[in-house]
Amino acid sequence: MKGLGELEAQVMEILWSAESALAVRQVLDALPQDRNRAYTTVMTVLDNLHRKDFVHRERVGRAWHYRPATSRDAHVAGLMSEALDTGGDRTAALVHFVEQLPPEEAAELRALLDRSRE
Amino acid sequence: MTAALALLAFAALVRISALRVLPGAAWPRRAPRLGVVAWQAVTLAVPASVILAGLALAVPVLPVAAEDMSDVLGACAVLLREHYETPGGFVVGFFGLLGAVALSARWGFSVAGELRTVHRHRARQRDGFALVSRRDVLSGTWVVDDERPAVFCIPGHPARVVVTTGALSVLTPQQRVLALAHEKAHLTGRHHLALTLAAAARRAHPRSRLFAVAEAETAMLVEMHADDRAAVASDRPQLAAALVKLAAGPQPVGTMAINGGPAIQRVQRLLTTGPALTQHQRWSIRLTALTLMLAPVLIAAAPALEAALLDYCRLPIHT
Ligand SMILES: [Zn+2]
Repeated sequence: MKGLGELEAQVMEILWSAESALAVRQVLDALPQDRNRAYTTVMTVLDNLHRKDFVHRERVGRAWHYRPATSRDAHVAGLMSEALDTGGDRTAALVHFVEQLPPEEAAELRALLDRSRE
Repeated sequence: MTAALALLAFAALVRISALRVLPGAAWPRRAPRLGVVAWQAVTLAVPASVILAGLALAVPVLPVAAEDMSDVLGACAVLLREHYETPGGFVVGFFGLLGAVALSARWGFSVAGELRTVHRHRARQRDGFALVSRRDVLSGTWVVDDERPAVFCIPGHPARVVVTTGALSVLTPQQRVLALAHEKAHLTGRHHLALTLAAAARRAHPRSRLFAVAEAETAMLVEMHADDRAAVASDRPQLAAALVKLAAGPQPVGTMAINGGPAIQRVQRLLTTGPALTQHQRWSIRLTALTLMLAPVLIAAAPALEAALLDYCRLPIHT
């Protein structure tokens, strides 16, 4: 199922910019019409997003309506602070290029670099 | 009894000498991958010795173990039991077994727990960033809109390298390439496995100084190894500059610290090229690590091997 991940991102963008919860049909209509997409594909994508806790859903009549669990900004902020949090009980989940330093160490680091350039 | 005592003494010796020798030694920083291997060998050899010590005590009270071992080795079970004899008899054997099982279980749960935590964390990050990142096909990375400069990778299947727009804006094109090469070196070097083992050891024994030091050293040495893989000699100053930009942020600060953390040690290392280890030195380190891994098993099996070699149990059958 190549491309489903990309579709997830597209669907999320639609939900983030929507003013209220959307039904599957509304999401399908909001997607670019460049290719024929099946209703069931969009349903699967929304189901995946719900399973991963990125969207909430509520029943309206006989259909599910979906809305994002958080705003886009909050989503990015949450991921980033989780990614940058390397202190305390850190796990080996991510491997960083370098960790952010406290100001004193940062100054020493800069001084070190400057000295080598002289 | 002798085997058990020897194993406990070995564990203590490994622990003490690792803490004395490894953190201050110059060679792990010159050959960081070997340094990681050494720390892993220590991390495994210490609990393995203690577990085997418990099992060695338990051999005389476990009839099945003695019979099985005698079958395999062709030694007589009575003799085997004699060779693992303990003065305390049943009680000592029982507690040995209990200790071995408890410690094995503790490690099993810690490794499983660490793997589960890490897996969940990575899946959340991968799924989450997939929704908001732009794929940069050329560099094979995910670019996320955030002004905080950060470059990191999410190991696993599929592995991802994530870069923030903040990082892209402070780095020069050459520095970007070097930073990404550093992350890819983490992935190809499977550094996350070494880090997971270190984290699991610390989870099993949260108060152990040995495993705390092992984790911190492993974390730093994999960074140094990735630095080495990312940059040839002429690129090292640029990699150092990239490191400083990302670690220290853009704005200058007045105060200075005295002692250096991992980032400072890395920058120092990138800016000064020390002599490489000789082949001879490298092999003696590898051999030591291998010995650390094999010694506990050999010590534990020594009484059984001795029993097998003596072989006089069979004599009555032939006469
Ligand atoms: Zn790194």
